[in-house]
Amino acid sequence: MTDLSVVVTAHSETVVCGPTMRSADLAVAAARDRGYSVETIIALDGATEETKAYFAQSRFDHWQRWEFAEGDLGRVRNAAVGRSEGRYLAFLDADDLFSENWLAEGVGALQSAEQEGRRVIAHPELNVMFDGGNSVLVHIDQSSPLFTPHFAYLRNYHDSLCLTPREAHVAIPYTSRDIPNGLSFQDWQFSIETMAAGWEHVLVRDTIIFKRRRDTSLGQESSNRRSIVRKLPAMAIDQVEHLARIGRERH
Amino acid sequence: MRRLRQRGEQERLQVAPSAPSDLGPVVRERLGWCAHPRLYLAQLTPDERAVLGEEPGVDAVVGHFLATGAAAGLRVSAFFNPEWYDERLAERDLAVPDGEVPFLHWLTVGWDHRIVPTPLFDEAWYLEHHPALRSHPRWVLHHYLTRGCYQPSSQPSPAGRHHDGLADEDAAKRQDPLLLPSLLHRADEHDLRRTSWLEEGVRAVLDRRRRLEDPVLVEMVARAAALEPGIHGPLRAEQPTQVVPHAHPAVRRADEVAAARHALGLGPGDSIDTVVLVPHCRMSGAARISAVVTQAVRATAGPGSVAVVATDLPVFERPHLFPEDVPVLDLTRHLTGLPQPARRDVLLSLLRSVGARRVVIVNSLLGWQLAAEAGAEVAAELDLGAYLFTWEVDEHGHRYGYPVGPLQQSLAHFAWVLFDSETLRTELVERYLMPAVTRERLHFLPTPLADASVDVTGVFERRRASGLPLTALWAGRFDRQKRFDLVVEVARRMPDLRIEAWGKPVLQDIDLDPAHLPPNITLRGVYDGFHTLPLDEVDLLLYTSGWDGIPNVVLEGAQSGLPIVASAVGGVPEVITPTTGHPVEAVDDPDAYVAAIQDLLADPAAATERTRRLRAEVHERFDAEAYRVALTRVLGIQEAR
Repeated sequence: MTDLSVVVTAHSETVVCGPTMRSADLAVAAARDRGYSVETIIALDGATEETKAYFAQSRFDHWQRWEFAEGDLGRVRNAAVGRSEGRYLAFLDADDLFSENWLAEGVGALQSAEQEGRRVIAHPELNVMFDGGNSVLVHIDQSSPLFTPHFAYLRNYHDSLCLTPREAHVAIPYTSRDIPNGLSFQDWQFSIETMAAGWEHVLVRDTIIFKRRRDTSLGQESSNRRSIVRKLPAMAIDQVEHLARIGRERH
Repeated sequence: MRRLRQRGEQERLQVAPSAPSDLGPVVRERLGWCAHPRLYLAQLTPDERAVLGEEPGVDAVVGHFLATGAAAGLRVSAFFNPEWYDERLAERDLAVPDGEVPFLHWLTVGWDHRIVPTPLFDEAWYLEHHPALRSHPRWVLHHYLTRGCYQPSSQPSPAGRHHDGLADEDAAKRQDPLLLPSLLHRADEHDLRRTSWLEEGVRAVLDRRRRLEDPVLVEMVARAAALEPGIHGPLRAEQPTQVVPHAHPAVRRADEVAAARHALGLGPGDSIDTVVLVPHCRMSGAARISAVVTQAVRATAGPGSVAVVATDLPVFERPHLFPEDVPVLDLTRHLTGLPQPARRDVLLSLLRSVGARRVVIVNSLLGWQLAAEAGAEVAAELDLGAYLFTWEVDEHGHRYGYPVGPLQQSLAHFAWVLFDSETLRTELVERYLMPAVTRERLHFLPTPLADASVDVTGVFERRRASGLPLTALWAGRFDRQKRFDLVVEVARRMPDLRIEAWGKPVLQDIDLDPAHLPPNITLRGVYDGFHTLPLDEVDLLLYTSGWDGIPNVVLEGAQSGLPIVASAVGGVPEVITPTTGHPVEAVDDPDAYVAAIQDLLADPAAATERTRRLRAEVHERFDAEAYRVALTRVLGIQEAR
């Protein structure tokens, strides 16, 4: 069985993907050097002609190109999970970058946790935001004394670019609950529902995701997302205290 | 350096530190800049706080600290962390000498060595983000202590601003740094003498931030930067570090909501269908209305269906107004120190967390703010509505209040608006040229009469026949609206009329000097319920308000059978007409009230007949069961099975 499926999702991106794909190639090479088998996939979801043409370049021939018409980031990820073979999955948005060590260290962390009998989803230690603002987001994991489940009402603790065992995605697929309103909050919901289901979100030391900061109306979207998050059963006012209990008990 | 002891020089003696009796003017001044009363009070027992009074100023707190707090290890400054100071001294291979109070040591010695004694302030960071302060004449920490910590835009630390970035105009005057709510968050989980939720969080952030200098991470950033020039490697020192969620203000909000829900007595899965928002509960018609709403909902939908939430002031003088099994929450204790948008958000989150299906705003300022600022969002989730009684009039004669601006702003979000008089409803419908679809959401509900009442019908006729002194009853708040100045003028014009005035002053803007009242006015003090007044010892009820809905005191007077002389304002003419009483049209003219009283005196039998008619009318129109049925129909409340 393939150890890892790396899925780059693209819709309308073109040249901005150059650094993305180079970083992915370097990270994949590092993982293979560590002895892991890696499957590489470009998931084109309703891709524009320009995007298709960009990824049609022969320089990407070592990547499989899968076309979808889901029109939704969550659904295309679910679809890609269904077709991929890896025991673990790593998604990458077409304009972001991995640190070179992310895949190798991340898979190593998941394997170590499995050997300890823990159900773990891995995240990089840092998010470095670039292009339109530079800042560093230091992640915290469930076992941190800084962790408080109430924060999950306000922001997503975890970036969507995680490393996840296939079974977590199969058990808790991304949902598209409010597609008519154009809302996309699958990663936030995935984060909450996996925590509620007993998955432990951990950080992998020394690893980074570089996130391109986009010029979108995040404020309104965030507000709408929050109203949906509140309706998740795990976020009910009398349930939220139990969220991520496993990680906190370990602490 | 005389008082800096080399670490290891001697074992620390277990001696309780004490404050020196004479600090000197320089240290005294520094202490004054650093003292934060609210932090200090949070470490005292209720008995100790009582000694200091309700809101002690900086001087009182400093005095208490020097007299007892310092020796007890209490912290008087949010910007002195004893362990942090100890660590900074240790870096210089120094320590606080035994028997000295660390904070006073810092003021005396550490300050001169420019040792920052808190993780909350980073001198280099502050100067980097506020370069103009490089010319500050003193140590830059002085600027932060005396100004920066009260300014929302200050950037004191790579771990952030430590607060939600909103201004508090009085913060500097109170010496209440903007970060104090974060510092006092989860205070019961921390030993405030040493540390706090905020300081622990910031320390953790700073620890994590040091990781950015780790060679592996530096190398990873460099490699990515080689691929994408938009990535700035190495990470620059001025890049702020965000970390979730050590002092995110909304974390405190969420905790307060959970605590408020607990205070309502709700268990897992419990919800409350109807929430009545009131500003507070003191003697007012609005308080009584909120009670009758609550009683009607409780009687229809059963226990657990309704709760009362007081949002503006922690005053609850009349809790017995509400049914015993209806939870009443003082939300203000969960809002202490929160800026306005956060207060609104706590209320909204609470309404969501209790699963409210409808919210009735009864003069709650916070409720109206919620409607104005988040009305569309709220209305999408539940039925929102308000009760309106009257507009107000300011000292310049301009109308203001909920039926003016706030209603215009929020009407679109209201499922219904309730009125205690048809007059105000009609006025608003006509003023705003409301179409039918809007008018249909506006409902006049005759407020039910009080349960308790006394029938003194005919008292005027009997007292006049027996020649007892002519006595008028006046009852209400001594505020500008109630026009007690007219009562004084009436008393002056009718020296044979005794006026018994009940109520208490609630505003500062009236000029009422009991020593200079006419001798025929007697101030009787507060009362608890109209029926408790000595109604059979007076001849008539005098009512002088300058504006109102249908006032409770008029309804209660009508219910009691007293003749009523009343200003014909607002909804009063809906009750007091020439056939049921003595309305005064020239409401600002004391002579008009005198004329009405003389008219009453001219025919006592006719007066009795009017009171009988009035009493019968109000009992028919202001009926509790009719109100309950009408209210619950408007609110869409089903009978409990």
